[in-house]
Amino acid sequence: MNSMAGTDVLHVPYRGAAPAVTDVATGAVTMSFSGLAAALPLIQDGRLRAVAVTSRERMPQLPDVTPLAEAAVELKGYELLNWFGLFAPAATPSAIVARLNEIVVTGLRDRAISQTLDVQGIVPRIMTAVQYREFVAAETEKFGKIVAQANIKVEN
Amino acid sequence: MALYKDKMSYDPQRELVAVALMGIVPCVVVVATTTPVGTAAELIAYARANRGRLSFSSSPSATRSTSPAS
Repeated sequence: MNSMAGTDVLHVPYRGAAPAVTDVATGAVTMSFSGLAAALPLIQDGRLRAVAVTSRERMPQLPDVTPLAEAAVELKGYELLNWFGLFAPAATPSAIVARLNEIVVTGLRDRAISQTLDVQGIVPRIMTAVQYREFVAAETEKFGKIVAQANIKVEN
Repeated sequence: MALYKDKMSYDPQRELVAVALMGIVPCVVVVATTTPVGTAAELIAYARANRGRLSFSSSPSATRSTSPAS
């Protein structure tokens, strides 16, 4: 966001999501980038306000909240996601990979499962194994660029 | 800022095959209700008007180990 929109907001890393959002409510930090699950109780209490989401599309859980990508022309294409998915050992036969993918997709279409994901701030995104591989490659490239641009070093 | 290289016993890019994405977890940007910001566009305008005076928190679970505002 800072690099795209020319803002200069200081990053304060926290160990856990709960203190990270609580300190926004108390005014110790101005804002937090948080998963919905951690912020929701404080939003419902009226202490925090959700003003943006970092996905390119709106979250079904927060239909009135605009993506950051739409907040300024310079932020077009901005997206920052945490995501969960399955991997298997590289030697797994492709027929098995396809079958496992089918099982996950069936699960994601199940109403009870999608409701459980919903309250955790997770948005199901159905992909074939090939689309998922391309997604992982694109994420890897994006974070590689961020690491290079922000001059982030690996520490052992 | 730094990333930490734990001793990984495998190379995920070489030794794993992608099977299925389950879901994405977007970050939600929250401010205190006392902050005069109601929308994403107002957030950016506020951040530009207050350069160097604002801060944001994040935690590893929500953001992996890279900073979402960088």
